[in-house]
Amino acid sequence: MTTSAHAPLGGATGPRRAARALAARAYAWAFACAPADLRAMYGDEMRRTFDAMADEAAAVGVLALIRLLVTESADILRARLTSRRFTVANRTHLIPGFRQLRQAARSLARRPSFAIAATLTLALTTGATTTMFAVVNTVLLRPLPYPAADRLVTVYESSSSATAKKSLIAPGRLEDWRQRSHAFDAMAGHYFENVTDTSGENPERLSGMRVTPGYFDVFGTAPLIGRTFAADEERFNGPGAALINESLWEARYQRDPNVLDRHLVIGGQTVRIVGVLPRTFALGSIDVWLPGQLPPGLFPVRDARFLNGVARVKAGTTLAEASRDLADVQRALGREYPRTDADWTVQLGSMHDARVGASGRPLWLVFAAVGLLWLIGVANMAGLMLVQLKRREREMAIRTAIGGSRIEIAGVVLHEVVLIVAAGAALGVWMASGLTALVPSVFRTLPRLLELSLDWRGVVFAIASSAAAAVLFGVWPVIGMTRAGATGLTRVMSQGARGATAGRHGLQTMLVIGQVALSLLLVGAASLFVETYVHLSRVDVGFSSDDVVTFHVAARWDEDRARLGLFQEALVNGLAATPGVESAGFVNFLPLTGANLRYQATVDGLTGPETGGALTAGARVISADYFRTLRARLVDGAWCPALKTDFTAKGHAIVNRAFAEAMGPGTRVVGRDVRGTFSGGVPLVIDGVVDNLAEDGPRVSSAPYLYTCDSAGSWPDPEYVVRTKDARGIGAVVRQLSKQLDPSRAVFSMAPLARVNASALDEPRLHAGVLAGFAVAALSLAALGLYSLFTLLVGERTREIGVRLALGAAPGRIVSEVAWRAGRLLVAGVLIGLALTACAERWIGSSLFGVAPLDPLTLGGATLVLAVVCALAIALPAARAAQVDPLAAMRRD
Amino acid sequence: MADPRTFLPLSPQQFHILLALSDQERHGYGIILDIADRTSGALRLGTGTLYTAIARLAALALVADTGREDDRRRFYRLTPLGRKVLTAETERLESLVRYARAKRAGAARHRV
Repeated sequence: MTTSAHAPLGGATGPRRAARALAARAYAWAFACAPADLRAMYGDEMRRTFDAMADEAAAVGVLALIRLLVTESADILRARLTSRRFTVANRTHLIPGFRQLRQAARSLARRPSFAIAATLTLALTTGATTTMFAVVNTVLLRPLPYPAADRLVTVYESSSSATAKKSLIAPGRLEDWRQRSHAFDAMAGHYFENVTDTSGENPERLSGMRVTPGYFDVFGTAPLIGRTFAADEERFNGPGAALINESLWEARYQRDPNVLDRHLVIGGQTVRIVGVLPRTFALGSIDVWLPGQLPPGLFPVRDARFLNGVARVKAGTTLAEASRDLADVQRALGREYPRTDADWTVQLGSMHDARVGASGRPLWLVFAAVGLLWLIGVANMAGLMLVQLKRREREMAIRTAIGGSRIEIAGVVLHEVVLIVAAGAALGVWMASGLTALVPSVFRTLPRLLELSLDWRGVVFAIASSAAAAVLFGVWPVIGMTRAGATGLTRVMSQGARGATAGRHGLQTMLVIGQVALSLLLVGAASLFVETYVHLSRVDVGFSSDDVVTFHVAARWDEDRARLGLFQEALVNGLAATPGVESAGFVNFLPLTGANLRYQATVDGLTGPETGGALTAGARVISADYFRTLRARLVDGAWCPALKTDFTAKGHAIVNRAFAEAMGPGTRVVGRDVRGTFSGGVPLVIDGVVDNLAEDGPRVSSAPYLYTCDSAGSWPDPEYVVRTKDARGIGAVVRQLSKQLDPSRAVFSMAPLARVNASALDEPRLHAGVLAGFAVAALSLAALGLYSLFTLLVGERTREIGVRLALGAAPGRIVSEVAWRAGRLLVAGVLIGLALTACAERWIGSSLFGVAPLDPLTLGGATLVLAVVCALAIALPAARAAQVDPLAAMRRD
Repeated sequence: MADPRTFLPLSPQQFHILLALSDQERHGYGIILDIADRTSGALRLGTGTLYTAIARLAALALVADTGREDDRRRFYRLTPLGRKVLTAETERLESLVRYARAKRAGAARHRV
């Protein structure tokens, strides 16, 4: 086959001969793709014919040979794809509808740019909406991953005094509730404790949760392997036991089932691993669950509130009924313990709401934005479709003329729509599965990300939304088109059908106006959120995080506080003495991290704004040099006295400016005593006033705060801060120092304070980023829609424009007419968009900061951006209109 | 013999192949060259398209293998049915063109 019978290659050069031989081989490969019966019947013929063609091409040159090879391969491939019915018998095998689909595929293949544009638009929008649907579905809609999860509730105490919010539960009270209530299958409590495991070579910090008896009965989740805690393990001084997280099981034990024989060493105590819980069991990242083993002496202390309550309501009992039942129990307890319980009641809430919490509104917002993008995409596809229909008007009219029914003619187009939708939906689902995997790394602050998956609901959503898109961009225009088509061939053939074309352009104009409006909504929202982010990042937080590093050192709450205090004191002093370190200190909760429990404070000799002269204030526990390390600004008085382990001396406190001002203008709080629940009622002397720090996050300015200058050891597990010029080297110094002082303690979570602060802006940054991305996509789609509409308009009026130019019209006038038309369209779109933005105000207003939802400058800017993009989109069609060659235009048709 | 009109419309390729065979028998490459020549190179069939079309035309008994081989290449000819179909298709196209011309002439009056 490689040797041709008549090869006029006698004079051919070496490379050409080699290329000719290669071409024959390449053709043989391509030939293998030809339909089998064609190969069998005409194989030799085809090869000989190719040889003849190749000889001819080789005589011209290597390039011609390559060109031949490419077209021949494509031709064979096309034969393979489109043929298969060259024998009459084959025809009978075809499934009904399949032939039309194949026809449609061929028809689309002739217009690849339309097919690709429509399919990609659908795929992109479907991919984005399906991904967001998967997120919304997982986080907000799907029940929590426990059996009968709708019966799970959170349980808290609540003080009847107006200012205090919900509170954690004291273990004694929880026990009473558990025994006396009737509406619950199970009730238990937990608290968080970071523990250090010293079973390995190096001490390792694990995030832990201590639980009270019956905790796992509440959830009803079975461990993957092993068991939950036995009764004796839950008793005070019982044997140690631990359940570990699947993630830890995987990372540390490689899913070894023999892990149940292994031990952890926590606080010097050997703890047996008795089971492994699935990773979706815990909210957040709990490594290990330990029995609380609360000492019996703790139960009568009814003010020791530290447990988060969880409960499973009995089947058939509503949340309100369960609340009433428990409130009755608490009322009885109030009579029994008037001093400690009379003021308190219960607060039940759905566990789903508690876990999903504040992420609901922002998620719906992003979902709505993605929905808008989808709408714009569909409008764009409808625009593309209309252009296509316009181009095929003649074909359709001829079909009508030769007797095609309206359904048949619509069917031709609808089969194409079906193909595009099928391909777009499939691509979209594929994209969504990829995007869903990316979500956890982007939306880091979302709860329930471990459960995130694209399940059958996501696929159904993708199919349903694609079908809806098909109706909007396919069926609707086609119905309009066939209605016009039914009125006959004449008008279309004459090309003078102003009525019909105007009507159809009306539809397309509406679509473009809609796109412009929705784009403005998205661009406006994105600008607002970007501004919000900028404002938030510029808020004066009251301290400087540059050159400050923060870290944790593992410690337990039941440790000997005096010993712990000596450690803290030595660590902070040791760090402060390290060359390059300016100062070091600690605090129980860093600013901007969202710990915002409130207490009631009274200052001796002053009357606060609330009942009884009290003031509701947040509280922090700080070391002496904490404020110096953060470079907070002292407004009045002095900083805390030096850090010492001394639980007998009178306590000191510092209040912030908001606190001092709330006590009345002109009054001086320094030197006075302050008392409240934060110090167990013991008076503390106010040493100084610090300028407001953004404790509750950048959005909340200046809530009253009180900082108690505690003795070392009173807060076992604080956040340490060090101001140093050598942020890189400080890690080793801290570890070395900690090891010297106490080798059993793990140092962990070391990070620049700036990074910790930045994470407070994660969510606004994410919103700004996501919305900006959507806005850019929306703008591009709207620009594309405008471009195709005006290309169509200018194309249609070429003849008219040509005549006018020939009669002496200035090209500038033609351009200004096009621009005028675009301008009217833009104004309509902008007006509708502004109206929509006004409607959305209610939705987005509460998420904004430092900018009003209808900020004229922002919306004006967004409109300007939109106008510029639109101007660019119509520039090319307008220029084309001005450059129409009158002669060529009139010669057309 | 089947009614030639039941084979209509022909694809452009089929029409051109029948046309190429209307004056003489040709082999595959000959058909390609004839069509390319007649259309000034605008239509140059590839082997896949050509033989798919020939296979189909042969199955419909519009063309036939002559049995003659030159340089091991088969020659094809038009069957009597094929000639009738070619005539019918030509007439169909003619009437369509006439129809379109008439309509356009009518439309021209509306135009500026």
